[in-house]
Amino acid sequence: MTLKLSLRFISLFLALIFFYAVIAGKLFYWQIIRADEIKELRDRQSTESLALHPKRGDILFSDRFPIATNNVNYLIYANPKVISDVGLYSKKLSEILGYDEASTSARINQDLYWVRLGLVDYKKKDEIDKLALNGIGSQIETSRYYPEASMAAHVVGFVGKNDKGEDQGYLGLEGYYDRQLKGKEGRLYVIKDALGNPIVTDVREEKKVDGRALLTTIDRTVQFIADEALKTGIKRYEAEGGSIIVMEPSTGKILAMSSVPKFSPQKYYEYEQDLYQNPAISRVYEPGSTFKILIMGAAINEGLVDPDTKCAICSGPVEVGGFTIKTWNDKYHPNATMTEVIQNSDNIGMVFVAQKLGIKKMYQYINQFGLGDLTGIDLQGEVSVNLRREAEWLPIDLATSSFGQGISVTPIQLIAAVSSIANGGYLVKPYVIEKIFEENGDEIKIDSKKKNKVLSSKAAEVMTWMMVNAVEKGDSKWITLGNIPVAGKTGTAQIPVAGHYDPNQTIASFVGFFPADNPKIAMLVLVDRPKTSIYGSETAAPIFFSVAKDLAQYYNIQSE
Amino acid sequence: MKKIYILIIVILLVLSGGIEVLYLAQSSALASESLRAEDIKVEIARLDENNQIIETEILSHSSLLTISSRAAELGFVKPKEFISLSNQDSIALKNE
Repeated sequence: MTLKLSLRFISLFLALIFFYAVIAGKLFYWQIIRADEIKELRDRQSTESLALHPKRGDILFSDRFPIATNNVNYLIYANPKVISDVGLYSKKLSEILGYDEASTSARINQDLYWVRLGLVDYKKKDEIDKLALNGIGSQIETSRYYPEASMAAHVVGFVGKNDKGEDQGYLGLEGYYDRQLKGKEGRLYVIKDALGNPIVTDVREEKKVDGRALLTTIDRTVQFIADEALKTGIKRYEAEGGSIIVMEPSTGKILAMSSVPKFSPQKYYEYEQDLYQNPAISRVYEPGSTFKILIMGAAINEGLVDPDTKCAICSGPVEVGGFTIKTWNDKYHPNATMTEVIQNSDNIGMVFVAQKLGIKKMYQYINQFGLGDLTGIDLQGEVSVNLRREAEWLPIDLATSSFGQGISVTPIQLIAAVSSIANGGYLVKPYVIEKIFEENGDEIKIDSKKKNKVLSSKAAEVMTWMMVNAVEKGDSKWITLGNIPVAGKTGTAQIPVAGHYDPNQTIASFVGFFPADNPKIAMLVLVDRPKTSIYGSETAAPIFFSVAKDLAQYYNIQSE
Repeated sequence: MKKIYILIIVILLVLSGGIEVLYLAQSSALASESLRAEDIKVEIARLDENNQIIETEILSHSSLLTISSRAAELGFVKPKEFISLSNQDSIALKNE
């Protein structure tokens, strides 16, 4: 009996051991031998993979107010299969969505399970929610938002979609810094239980990296002043467009950059593509008389002329290489000094200077002023025109280039070159971003860059006071900035059309800086094809002084 | 001998039962934690969304475009002239 009982216990014990051994064996088989296969199967059945979209970095004005940020919108959709009263739905929704009833009805009346109705803000979404319509739903969507609307539109660029349907920055800062701004997409793998609830202890995540924020040098107030003055000026002078660049000449910081006509970065798709380009960095034009100050500066730097040097050929038109060159108003100033040549914007006086300089030196200085190259400004879309090779220059090219004809520049190239007169002779690289904020809070500071010294400090100073004289006694003498000395030069460049210059179509301009005794602001104003007057002194100069007056007040600039 | 077998079997059964109870308790705790975490996540997302909406409203109201048009409505105009004082004058001077 005892033996029998013992056998039963042993049998039961062995059965239990066998049972556990079978379980252990099965577990070993599934979890060790076929582990990878099972894991893959599990992932397929119970793992949900979600894309974690990074937040695009903000672009900030220098006062840290956003030029570009992100906004919450709602995509409203419908499931037409569950909508019975199409008429009622169309009537109620069209009032909120802003479409006509017929088009809303056409959308809802489709044989589909999902129809997009439109993108709305939270107020409209709330109104739609209150209607409690069965079959109407919403989904959150973030989009780029520009709180100052089209202010600085050409500087900021816009965000569109690329070939893969992903957000991508185009032109301006959005284009140039796209990789910094967009960040890196992450992924979340959520394991769910049999009921579909996520298991919190089994969440794997490839972390997303939000885009970096950019702090610009653009001063919101200066940009606003420039925008308003340009808009008013273009309307007043019945021009086709125009640009203003305001820059700190000692560093190359761009304080404002405005062009008209504008586009809205928010609704860029509603505008002609031609308007997306920033004329301040991509418009190539002949600078006309504003170029004279660079050539005169070069000749002074070489010691070939000084402010009192007299022009020996200024008594009438001159012949160069079979061409006759005249002054802009056909008035001549025999024995004019170099100061008077700039004051009168005398083409013959400039031919005199250019002939003293010669092709080799002229070519060298044009290159040193950075006119054959990109300035390297951190905006997408900058262009440059290659200079003709030195060997191709003829005497007539030397003569006409001295007064800004037959040579092309971009507005940003010209303001950078003129700034070298304002800052003691250094060519500086213009820039728009001064800090990049990393996702961990670190800051990358971008310093200004001096490229090369073009003029001696003495030559730059002499040229500055010749420009002050031009403002005070030249063709724009009727406008001043009180007791603040302004160094400047007007320009009226005829536009080459079909092989000749059209005298009635000009790009009127004014370039200058102030206060001349310690320049803080350099500015270029361009007015494209003004109709009320073709001259820079009567169009661009008043805009320049209107902005300068506001800036003098804003920065509390006084003469030293 | 018999007692030892009984003891082993009882221990094995108790262990199995204990492990099962522990597993069930832990699973249940985890499930409720998961649900709570999910609720918190939804709440965070909702608050983030509301924050973003409020931020956008603030930006819209404090943009220079809004301020300048509001200022014009209220009758503010740009000063035609301005005077800069190089030395700060005292506002109230005591008579000697």
